[in-house]
Amino acid sequence: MENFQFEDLSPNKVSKVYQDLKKFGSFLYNHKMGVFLVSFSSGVAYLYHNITQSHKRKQIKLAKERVMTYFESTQKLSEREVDAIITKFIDENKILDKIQTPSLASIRSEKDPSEKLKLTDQLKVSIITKLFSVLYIIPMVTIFNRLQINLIGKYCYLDYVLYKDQEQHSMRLINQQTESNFINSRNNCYFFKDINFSQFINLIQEQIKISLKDWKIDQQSSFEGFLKLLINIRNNFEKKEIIASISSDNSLLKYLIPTEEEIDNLVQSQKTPENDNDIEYQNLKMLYNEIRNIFESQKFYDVLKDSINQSFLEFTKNLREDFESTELKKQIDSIVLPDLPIEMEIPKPLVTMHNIILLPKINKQIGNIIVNKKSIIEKIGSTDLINQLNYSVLTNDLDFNKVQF
Amino acid sequence: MNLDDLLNSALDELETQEKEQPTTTKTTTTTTTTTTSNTTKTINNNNNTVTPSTIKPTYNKPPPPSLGNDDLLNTNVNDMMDIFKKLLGEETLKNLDAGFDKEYNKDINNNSDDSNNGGLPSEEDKKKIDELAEKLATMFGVSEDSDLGDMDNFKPFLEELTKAGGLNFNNDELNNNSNNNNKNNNNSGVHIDNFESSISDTLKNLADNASNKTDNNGGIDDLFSNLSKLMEGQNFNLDGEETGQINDLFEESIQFMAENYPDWIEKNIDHYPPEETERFKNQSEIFSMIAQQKEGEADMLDSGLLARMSQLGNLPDSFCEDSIKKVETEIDEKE
Repeated sequence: MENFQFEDLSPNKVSKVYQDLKKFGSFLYNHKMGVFLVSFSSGVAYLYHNITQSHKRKQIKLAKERVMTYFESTQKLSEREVDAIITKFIDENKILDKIQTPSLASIRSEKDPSEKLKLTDQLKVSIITKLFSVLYIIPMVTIFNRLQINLIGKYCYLDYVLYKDQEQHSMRLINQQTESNFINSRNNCYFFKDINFSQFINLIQEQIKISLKDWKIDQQSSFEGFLKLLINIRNNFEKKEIIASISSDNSLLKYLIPTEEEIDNLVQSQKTPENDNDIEYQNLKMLYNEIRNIFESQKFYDVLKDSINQSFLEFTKNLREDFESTELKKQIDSIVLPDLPIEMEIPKPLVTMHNIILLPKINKQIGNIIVNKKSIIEKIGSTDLINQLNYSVLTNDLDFNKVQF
Repeated sequence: MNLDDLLNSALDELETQEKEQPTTTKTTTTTTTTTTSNTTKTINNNNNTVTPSTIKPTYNKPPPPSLGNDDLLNTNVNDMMDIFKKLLGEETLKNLDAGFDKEYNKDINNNSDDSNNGGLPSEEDKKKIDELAEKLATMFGVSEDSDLGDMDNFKPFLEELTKAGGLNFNNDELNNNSNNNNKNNNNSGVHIDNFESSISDTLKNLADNASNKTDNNGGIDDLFSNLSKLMEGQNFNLDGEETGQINDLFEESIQFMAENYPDWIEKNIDHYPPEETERFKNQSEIFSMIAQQKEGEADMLDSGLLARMSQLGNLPDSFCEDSIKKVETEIDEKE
């Protein structure tokens, strides 16, 4: 049995109906049915409009669904890849070992108290540097990889739309080579390249040395006091004018991508007297320029800030438990609870602790963060902010209602 | 507890964490254990030796990256176009397209069985078309005897409409509509009030559809459902005074166009190409002429003008939209 074909409803067909209706209109006119003409002919106009609009609405919906399917699947892919990247560089390649750290044995063996204090201070800086590095690496790599995937996705979609009816897809604007040079993967990650990553670590370490000058290991810290310290340090890196301006010396973002000079050198190196075929590197340069522009946008800054907050929140939530005093809680419960008319949970009271005692606890939490990185990556990836930003990157802020089908 | 004790205790804790450092996903457990115990031995045997060491975060063996069974997730992140093709170029896209066509056809054929004859009107529908055409012809004073040509003009278009799935010949609905209208119908010919209210309903439905309140293309259905209602309910015989009433409506609409169309053209002159604007102006001129003519010569309407008017085609959508909104507002105000 012949099925009803979609083509039967092409605009031409509708137009045929429309033409017939117009004839009908003139038929009515000739019979002085003026009122009918006004209502009916305009009705026909509406009818035509409605049918075409209905068709267009469905095409818009389809286009959105296509983009959404792509979007959702690639976001998962990105999460998995980020997890693999961090596993490779932190767990396997132990890239955090680049952070200068005195050996525990050297601290134990040091007899000179002032030298011992110096080494312990170095230990303090090292642990806090590691903490900040991990808490920055996870959100930065996550959102950067997402951006890259969606930026490439935009060009894939454009290629697809342009060439979908053709056999050849060889005309891709961004070819696979450019794509592979551009996207951070476990096999190619500019951020974790030796010199680049060492500079990233040094930047954090130098700032932390300054910030921890007055945070002595023999002093005590409350949970709130330590949170304040974290905020103070973060302010040195995360102010918009610092982080979003990748030309700034203190911008952490600049370590994610090669400098313009590096790219220019790369483009130049591909040019040979015989061969001027450096187009894929020109495209690479264009992609990085797009990334630079996104880095400077307010939207991106909001996403970055929110993502960093997620990783710090995960850390401070866990660290709070280290400040909780079970014994004090028991004492309070024994005094207060019997008199309480209703059963209620009193939060565990927090105690202060010596910074030297706090350090191993922080170190332990760094380990926990790395173990649980996947859930942090997922949390960062599922926020509305990051999805909105990436959807707008993928669709180039396309207004589907204005698309010509 | 003095600072040294605290420091030693902290160092102990850090050392334990160091020992518990995770095995990596690529290192076998055996190798890691050996390495760890060697390091421990060095520290224990020679406490005074400065052993290069780093603070290792302590954690259990991290789970290997979950690769899942999905082919997509096994694709290298660098092969974005492959992923894209997998997602959109092949099955997923086909499914989406199929879903789209199905949904679209369902909407278009919302009242016809999927197993019908490919959207062509059924025998029963053809019968209904004949009946509707006959009623319309009667309504406009055309009988098969007097003007067979016009009747024939109109059938193909109704068939075309049904083919497009737009016409709904639902007997129950027609009967209900008929009953509803008959309540107010004393079968004594044209009742202009009913006629007007049916027209109003049609207009309102059109306006509703036009404002995209629904996602279906029920325009045709609604239009014809109201037309059917109108015709089922009224036994139109356009003779005698009824014709006069119809002419009053005609005059009103011509008057409306003569008054409003020139302003509309003036306001929208920039939105249309010059040849369109020219056509609008010609239409408007004819409306004015008919309107003036009618004032002087009540029943002597120049049929040549009407013919010219129909040659100039339909009114622009936007003007119709405005007028429908106007009518709708008037209806609302009355209500």
